[in-house]
Amino acid sequence: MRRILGLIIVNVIVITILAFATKYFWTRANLVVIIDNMTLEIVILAGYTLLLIGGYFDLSVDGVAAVSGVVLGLLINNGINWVIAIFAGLALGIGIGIFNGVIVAKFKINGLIATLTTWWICIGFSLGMTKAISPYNFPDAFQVLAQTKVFGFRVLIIYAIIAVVILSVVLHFTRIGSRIYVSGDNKQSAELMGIDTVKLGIILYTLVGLLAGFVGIMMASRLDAASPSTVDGMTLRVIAAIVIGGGSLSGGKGNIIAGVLGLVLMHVLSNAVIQLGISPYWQKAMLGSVLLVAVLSEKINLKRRI
Amino acid sequence: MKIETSKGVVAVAVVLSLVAGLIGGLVPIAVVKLTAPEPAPVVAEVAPVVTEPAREGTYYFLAGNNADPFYVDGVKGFNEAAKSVGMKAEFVGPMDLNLAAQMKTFEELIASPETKGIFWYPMDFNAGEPFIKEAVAKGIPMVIGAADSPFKTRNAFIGYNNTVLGQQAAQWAAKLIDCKGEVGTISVNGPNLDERVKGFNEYLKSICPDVVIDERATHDGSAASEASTLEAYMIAHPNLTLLWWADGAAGIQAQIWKDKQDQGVKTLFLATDMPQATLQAVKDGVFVGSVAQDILLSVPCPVLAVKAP
Repeated sequence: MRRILGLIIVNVIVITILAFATKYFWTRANLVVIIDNMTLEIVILAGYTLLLIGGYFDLSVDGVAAVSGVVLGLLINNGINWVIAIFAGLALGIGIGIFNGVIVAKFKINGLIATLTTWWICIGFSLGMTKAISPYNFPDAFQVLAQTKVFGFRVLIIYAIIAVVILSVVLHFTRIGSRIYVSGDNKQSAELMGIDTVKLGIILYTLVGLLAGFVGIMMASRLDAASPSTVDGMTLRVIAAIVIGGGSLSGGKGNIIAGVLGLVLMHVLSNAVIQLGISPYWQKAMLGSVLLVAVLSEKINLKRRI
Repeated sequence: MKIETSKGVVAVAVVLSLVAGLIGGLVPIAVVKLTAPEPAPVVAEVAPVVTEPAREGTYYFLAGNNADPFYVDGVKGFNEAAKSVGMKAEFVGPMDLNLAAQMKTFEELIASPETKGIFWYPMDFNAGEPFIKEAVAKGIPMVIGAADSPFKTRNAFIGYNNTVLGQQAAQWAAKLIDCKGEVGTISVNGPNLDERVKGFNEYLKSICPDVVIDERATHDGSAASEASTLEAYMIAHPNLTLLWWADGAAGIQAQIWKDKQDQGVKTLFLATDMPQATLQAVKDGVFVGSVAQDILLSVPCPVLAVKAP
């Protein structure tokens, strides 16, 4: 709770400064743009937080999103009904998630290496199947899925809210949520307590695979094009946001809401460099510096409280 | 009969490629619904033709961000040219803007006895310079494309003059906005894009001193980053008269731009290059035009030049 409060304060300070320092930051249109562009990352973050708390890593998310979107796009362009294409894309995401889960949780292959290879395979297939030319021009009914506006926002915000609410409830109010925390904290203890950590690992990877497939499909709907490099770098941004939100890379710790607040900070700062007209050569340095200050200040506050 | 026909086509293609790429193809081609203005005053440096005798092996096209649809035509032309002269050719390099990966591949190509020649699309001239020197010292024909190295140690530069491309975009921009209003640019990072945008900004300022030119915004090459950069840029610059998307990725943002037009945004969108989606957006009136490089013609030149006696 303190972490959440700390992040709210940091966000409020940064947003207040930007509201005064720039002409258009504190406008409804800009806030809508910031939120619209982080919604799909929130969907991934919600599932990824569970995976990270459970003590696992998945670097294949960008690749799974790309290949799911591309397969959907190619199917639609080849005359397959878009509803069937969506199921195919989601099934592919689930399948890759199960595969990741089995090789990491069951065969104990290092999660970083295992999912790195899956990522490469997925990206390779996406590029190979499309030859870098994104399938585009999808049916209007399919485009509605991501382009419909709700109170001025893209409908994607609803999907993000649903993902955050459901997975927060699972994490904090169900037995499986407790098992995820225990398993991530100490796998041996979890097994002694009768928790099937292999099954849990496969479930968590499958969840992330499903969400990654969903994100690839929604990006295709939003852009009316399925790019093989649709969300490059999203995985690392999501991991960074979860860690800013107090998540531990070694498992056992984390919170979806805090992660979302970490993601808000990152997106606000990304938006700020454009609002402030900062030279592209300095953008990453500025982003990294502010995030470093945010993380350090949180650590210092924590030490003071101890 | 079939063989004779294909030989004829190949011969014509070879001649056209060499002539258009080495002499006339150095000026950007425009696909716009406008009468093209006079070409920009600067002419690209004409490169010396490499006369390395033909050797066994493979000719490599080493680039970066290889997933960009910009390369599709170039690779097609490169492979066709290689096939036409009976040479093996391969398009290599990282799928993203990973300089270390590009340099690693560079080193491997130079070390490989299979390498017959390298056509390099640079990501960083300084990083590539030692490899260029090494390649040239080993007798591997070293040709640079996209943007020429300031060191000039390569055997040849074959490609578009990015400064000229930027200037030509500026000419069209000036005509489109009647030298009034506010202009912005978006692109991915890279030395060729830096040259291009610098050429655009400086030339536009010189011919339209009253036009306000905003700082460029950059994206990371992914569709999601391009979309968020475009949307944030439009909020930061609500009075933008014209936006020039200086790299080849504009086409995938056509739907977002169409939405903006439906919402009443009047800003003109000038794209770059000729991916299918970009051309479609120009045809549909979503983009006002595209300043295009015909890499289908320019990229085959290094291969053909190496084979030439």
